[in-house]
Order: sequence, then structure tokens, then C-alpha cells
Amino acid sequence: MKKDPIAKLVKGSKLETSDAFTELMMDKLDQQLERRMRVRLYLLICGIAVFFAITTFVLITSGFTIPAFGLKIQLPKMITMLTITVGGFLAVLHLLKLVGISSSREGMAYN
Amino acid sequence: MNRAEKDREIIEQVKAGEQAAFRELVNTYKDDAFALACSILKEPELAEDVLQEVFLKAFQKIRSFKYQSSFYTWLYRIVVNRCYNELRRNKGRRTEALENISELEKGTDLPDPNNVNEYVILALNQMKADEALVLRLFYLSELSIEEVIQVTGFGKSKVKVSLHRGRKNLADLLRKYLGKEIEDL
Repeated sequence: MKKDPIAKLVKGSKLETSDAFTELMMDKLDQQLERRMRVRLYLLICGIAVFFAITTFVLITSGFTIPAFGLKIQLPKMITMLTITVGGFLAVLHLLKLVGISSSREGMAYN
Repeated sequence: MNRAEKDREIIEQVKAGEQAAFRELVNTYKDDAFALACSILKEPELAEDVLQEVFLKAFQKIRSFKYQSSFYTWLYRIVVNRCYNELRRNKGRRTEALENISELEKGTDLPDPNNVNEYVILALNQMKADEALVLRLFYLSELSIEEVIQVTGFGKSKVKVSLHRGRKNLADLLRKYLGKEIEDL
């Protein structure tokens, strides 16, 4: 059935993508994977930072002692909390800026 | 090793993290997929852009590919869906593309009459998307009717009607372009 003239003509009229198609696609794939890895890394760093921030906050606000010197450090809760919140906020802003830069670079590469 | 087994082997490599293996899949299917995209979008540049996105999406989703269908029907289905979405989104651009084709038809830029393949491509570009798509799936990619149904999502009767009308319209257009040289169609 497929050996008729129409079949032959359609079969013969192949179209081809541009020469650079595969390379361009693989480049985009690399960029996509790199971006995904970077985001995962940022999330990991963010998670660790949050963990340390909470631990530090708990330690500082509950007051801690250094046994060898019998030293007890007690910081004002409000100031500590504000410092950690502002620090965390700045860290997140910095992180978002970095992610933004990487995605805009990717956008430029696509054009 | 047949096509399905070969594809399966490559897909398993990609799933195992060998990104370079994906290149082989791209090289195997890019031209047929491009022809399908051109059948719908009628603009090679746009078709290539869409196809790039399709392959990136296919790479992302390949881990969830369960071999319930062949890889090429799965891939072509993504191509067809993405192209019809693009067509719906850019109706204005589509009209412009058709105007350009009409200009080409009127003007002196027609292909060499000895190059029948160029005329077939031109004719397929002028046909309705559904008809050109079904013709290319059936004759160029050599899919069965069942596979064409899977890829397009059309009913069996629509596929058969599109195939019949597509054949007739293609023959009419080629006769119009090439006259006596193609009378036996």
C-alpha cells in the first residue's frame, strides 16, 4: 500500500534541521542541568544556614556557659532575634540575586 | 537489534545519568520530528525552536517513561501537542506565514521544476496542518494507523479521512505546480 507514488514522494521529501541543532540543544541541556545543580546547592546552603541560625538563636537566647571559666553569657533576646532575622533576610536576598543572575544569563544564551 | 530495542538501550543509559546518550536519540528523531513540526507550524525557524523545547522536555520526563508505547510515538505526541499549542497561541503569526507562502507561489522564487521533492515540501506546507501531519506520519515516519492515532489523538475515522484528503490535495497541488510531469498521480 505504501509503495504508491504519493508514498514515494512524501518519503523522498525529507526535511532536515539546521546543522547546529543538536549542539545547541545539548548546550541548553547542559545549562539546564547546571542551573538545577546550582539551585539544589543554594537550597542545601540555605537549609544549613537556617539550621545554624536556629541553633545559634536557641543557644544564645537560653544563655550558655563555658565550664572551664564558669562564664555565663546572656544576650538580650530582642536584639539577638532582630540581628538573626536581618542577617537571614540579607542572606536570602543575596541568594535570590545569584539565582536571578544565573537565570538571566541562561536567557541570554537562549537568544 | 530493532529500533525499539536500540531505543530502550539508549533510554536506560540516559536514565542512568549518561547525558551524552541523549544526543543519539536527538540525532535519530530530530529530522522526522522537525518535519512533523513543520507540517503544523509551517515555519521552519519556529518549528526548530519548538523542537528544542520538546527535546528538553523529553529529557526531563524520560525517567518517567515506562515503555507503554514506543519512544518515537511518545516523542512525536509531545511534538504534536506542543505545536498545536503554539499554533493556538500565535494565530497572527500563522496568517503572516501563509501570506509569505502565497507570495512565494505568486513570485519567481519557485523551486527548480526538476526538484520534485522541493515541490512536495511546498505543497505539504500549503495543506491543512492535520492532513500534512497525517501524511508525514504515515508515509515519512512509516507509522501504522494505530500509531498515528496515538500520536495525533485523532479518531480512526479522522485519520483515514485526513489521509485520503491529504493524498488528493497533495496530488492536486503537485499537478498544479508540475503539470504533465506528474500526471500519473
